[in-house]
Amino acid sequence: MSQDFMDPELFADFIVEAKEHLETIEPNLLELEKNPDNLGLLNEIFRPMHSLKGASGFLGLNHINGLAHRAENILDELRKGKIAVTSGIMDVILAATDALRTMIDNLETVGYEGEVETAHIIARIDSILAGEAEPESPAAPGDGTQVEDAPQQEEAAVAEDAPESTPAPDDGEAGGQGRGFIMPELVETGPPYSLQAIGEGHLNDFLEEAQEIIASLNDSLLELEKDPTAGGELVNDIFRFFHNLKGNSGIIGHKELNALTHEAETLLNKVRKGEMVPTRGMIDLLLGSVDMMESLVTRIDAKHNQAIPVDIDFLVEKLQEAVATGDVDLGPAPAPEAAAEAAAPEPAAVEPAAPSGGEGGQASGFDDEDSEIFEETVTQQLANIHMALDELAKDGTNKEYIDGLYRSLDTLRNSASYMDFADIKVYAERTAGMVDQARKAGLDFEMMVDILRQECSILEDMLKKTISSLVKAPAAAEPESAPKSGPAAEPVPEVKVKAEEPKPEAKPAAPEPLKEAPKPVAETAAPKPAAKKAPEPAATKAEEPAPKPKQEPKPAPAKAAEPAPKAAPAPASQAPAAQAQAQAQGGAKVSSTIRVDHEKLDHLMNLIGELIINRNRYALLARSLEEGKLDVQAIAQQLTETTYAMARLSDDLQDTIMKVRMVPVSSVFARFPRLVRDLSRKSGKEVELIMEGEETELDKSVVEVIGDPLVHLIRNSVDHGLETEETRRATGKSPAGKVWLRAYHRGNSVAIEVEDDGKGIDPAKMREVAVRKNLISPDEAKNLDDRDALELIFMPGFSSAETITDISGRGVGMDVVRTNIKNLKGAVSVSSEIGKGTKFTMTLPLTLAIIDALMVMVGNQTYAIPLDAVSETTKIEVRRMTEVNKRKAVTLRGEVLGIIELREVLEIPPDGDDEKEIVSMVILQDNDRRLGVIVDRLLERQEVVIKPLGAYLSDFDMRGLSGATIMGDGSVVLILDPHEIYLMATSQRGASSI
Amino acid sequence: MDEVQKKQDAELMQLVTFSIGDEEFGVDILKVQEIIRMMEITRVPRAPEFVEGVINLRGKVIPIIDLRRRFGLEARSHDKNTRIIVIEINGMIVGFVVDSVSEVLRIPSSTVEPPPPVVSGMESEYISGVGKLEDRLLILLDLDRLLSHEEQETLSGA
Repeated sequence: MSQDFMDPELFADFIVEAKEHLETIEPNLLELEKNPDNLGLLNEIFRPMHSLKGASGFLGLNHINGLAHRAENILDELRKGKIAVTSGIMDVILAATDALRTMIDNLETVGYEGEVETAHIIARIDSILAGEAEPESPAAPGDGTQVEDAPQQEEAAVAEDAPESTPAPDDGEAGGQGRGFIMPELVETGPPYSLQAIGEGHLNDFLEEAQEIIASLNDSLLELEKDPTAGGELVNDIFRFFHNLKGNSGIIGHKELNALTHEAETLLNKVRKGEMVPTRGMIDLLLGSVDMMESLVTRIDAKHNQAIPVDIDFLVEKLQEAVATGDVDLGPAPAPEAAAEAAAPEPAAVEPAAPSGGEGGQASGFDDEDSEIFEETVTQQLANIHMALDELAKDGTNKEYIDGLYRSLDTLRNSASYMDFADIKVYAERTAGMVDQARKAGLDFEMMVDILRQECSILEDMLKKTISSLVKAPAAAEPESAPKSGPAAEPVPEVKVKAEEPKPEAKPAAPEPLKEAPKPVAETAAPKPAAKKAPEPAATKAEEPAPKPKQEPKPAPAKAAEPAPKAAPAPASQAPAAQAQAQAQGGAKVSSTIRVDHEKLDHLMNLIGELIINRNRYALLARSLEEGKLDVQAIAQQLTETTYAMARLSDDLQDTIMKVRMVPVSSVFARFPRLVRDLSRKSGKEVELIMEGEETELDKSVVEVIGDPLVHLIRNSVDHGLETEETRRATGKSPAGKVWLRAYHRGNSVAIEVEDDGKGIDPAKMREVAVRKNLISPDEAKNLDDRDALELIFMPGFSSAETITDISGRGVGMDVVRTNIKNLKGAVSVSSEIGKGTKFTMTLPLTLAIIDALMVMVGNQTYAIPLDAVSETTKIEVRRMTEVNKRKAVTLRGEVLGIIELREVLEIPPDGDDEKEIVSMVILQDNDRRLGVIVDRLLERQEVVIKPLGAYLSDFDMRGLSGATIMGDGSVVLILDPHEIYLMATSQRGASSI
Repeated sequence: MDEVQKKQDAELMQLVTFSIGDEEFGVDILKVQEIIRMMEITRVPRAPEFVEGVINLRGKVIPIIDLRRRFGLEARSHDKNTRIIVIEINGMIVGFVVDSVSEVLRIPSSTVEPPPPVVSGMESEYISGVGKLEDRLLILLDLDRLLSHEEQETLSGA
């Protein structure tokens, strides 16, 4: 293909990009050779190679494309672990990159790829690939019987979109198991595309608003779930939220978001009009959609005005389906079932033993139902593509075929993405993107047909390979004959006999509706492994409904094979992961803007005005001094006044700015009802979440990061804290567990509590587990009082959960919680009563930058103690101190108070050693515990600005110190961490403590 | 000497040189942010011995490392020649206390030789090379290693 007609700019871009890709690939390859097990590296190599392939394909650089394609294939095999990294393979890949480089250099200097010998490299790669691939297919027996089916004849690519035949009857809740909606894994479907933002900040506004809408949607949907009949306002609200989001996303041009909200809106509109009744399934679906919307929103790159497309077709299909059928079907939607039933005569031949066969078919790790649908789709779409290309070769402007081509490619992409064949997906997507671009640009396709043909044949190769590995059928299955004979409505079952169990089964797919689409495409599809069907589901359903809970109603054959693969959600096993991921993403979102009350801004403006006046006053005073007009006394007087004014102003400024930074914790709390709901459904425990004090305000930077720790705590409460319903009943508790989430002010800080009324934590068990896990020695365990034993939960590596669930209990978590909170200069503690419940309390500073502190002197150095940890200061006579358990103590107003010397804790060498009769003591309050800390001198109280100690020191053991501050005279004063001081004082465990 | 002459126009290294005890050291000038006089240092409790403390460098709190102790040499009280060399590596700002700062030198990189196994009793692991001057030797410090955590641990453990 000639490179003449390419846009030179595009061309130059390609060269630059290609070089970058190669530069990424090479060092990684070398690294890989050293660490052959590093899969991450492989991905790093794979991606640029893939991009290179795509870009070169688009530009019609066949040599580069072919070679990059082979290299990509082999990388993919490596990546999937199908072949091992050997130096031989590395040599080949390196040779390939060298050749690529040469070609790209040629392109740059002489304008074409040049004569670079790539054939032998390609041959070597192919032989490596073949060498690996061959032993594999026969090695995959699969004792299930698989049946060749007639090709999935159905609508031609162009004639599709004529669905909505009679919806299948609804058979109730999804799978009847009360399972939540299963989110498909997020699949990014392509390179970011630009959004249209009008002016700076527009996108940020959009993001912020979108997040608010999403939060409201979650709320409202949960409410709707509680009372599905509420109707009226609530449904209107939800409708409006979707509508707004749709409008907004339309303005910025976010295609996926727009499409998804549109469908959701349509669905809601029906509910609003009373044409549909909200069901649990529907709400699940809508919540799933909202999740997806959230993911989409979080994937928007506000800096570059770009959105990363994500595969949403699954949800869109579902929503459309719901609109069409009036109900929601959440199951994996095995397309052909209804059809199978309709085609009763054939399945009759099916042997009852089929279910077992079904298990055997899963050798490849995929649900064979899925594989089968995938194959069907592929066959069909490839057929469509070929036809469309043939037609386009004759007439490059036939819109119908262009659109059909695009749709087929898109369908392939979706199918591949569902099946998790990332490479196929990306490739199909790229090709589809090409078509899309060209059609938008109104290009004549005639000249593109060649490129497209090439692309499609690569795609076809990939698909074939994948499918053959999927079905693991002997390649000699001669599928060719089958498709040819495939007049739509008449299935020609071709029996394939598999190794173990020759069990002929036949099943036609979707016979009736297909009549409307006689298949001229069948021939083109011929070389494809024909659609293969393992009809278990149907059989199972007929004989023995139990094993497969997924007999879903389907608007069935109408759209037949096309929607099916897309619609089938991820296998159940993937669900938790997907969900966890979704949640993680939810947690990670941080919007970087803040909304400010206009009044506060006005106030700030006023303050700035005063500040300027004040500055002028200083200037005036300076001049009067210079000129000697006024006597010094008078000037000093005015100077003092001006300084006072200055102090008042700076205080006011600080206050106002802090207020501006304050946001209510409700912005974090808002997501927990949803979390608890999901947790509740997943764990099968009835949980009620009670939130209090959502209006409590915290510094925005704090609010942004407490989300994750709270998620941990709440999960922990639901998963480990609360008992199962039976246990609760047995112990006389109400069957529904309660979790409280509270926020309130406490002195100069904000406390956030997560409390449950579950089984509580047994300190004895904590000790036992900690010893068993070698976190502490048995002696240490004995010395721990109950409260300290509970604190063990925060130790790294501690997880007392006997059963590790997918929700929590991986032995990480609580220590992460503590670390996160500590980074915020906050603290977290736990209290628990066996049988009554557990309470975690996080104490957070109102703001991060400035704190009130009490200055104390130890040795000849000053230290700052955050004032909110100081309950009082006092002086005591040394002789009143007694020794309890080798620890000093004093009785203060009837309370026995443990005492430590700050000097000892900080390991400051003693000086002078003058025996004092009366010592100064600061009484620290760490949650409910008090501790007397002896210091040399008490100084004044002061507001200090917190400065970090820096990266270098943080590598050392800096326990007891939370930062530093700078005094008015420029000296540095260290800020103590009262909580850690407490821990260090009470634990004789030294370094092993937390 | 001839050799030095010949390579005069070869790649030149620009170094800040300073002394600790009798030895003269050099660090890449590009890593040096500034050189300041001794100032009041706030001791950091429980920090390793060679961390002298922290100072306020124009509103930033930076740690100060005593190179003498870092190298396991005997401590010495600060005098009027004592300087702090403020160095930035990988975004980390650290000050090194040295006995005195001498000059800024340009030496051809060809005169730099790999470090001998032992230089004046100090482990050679922090040394990236030895520069041969006309009448003396200059020890080039490997600052990255000097600040690497691993090294610190072995040192503080020792």
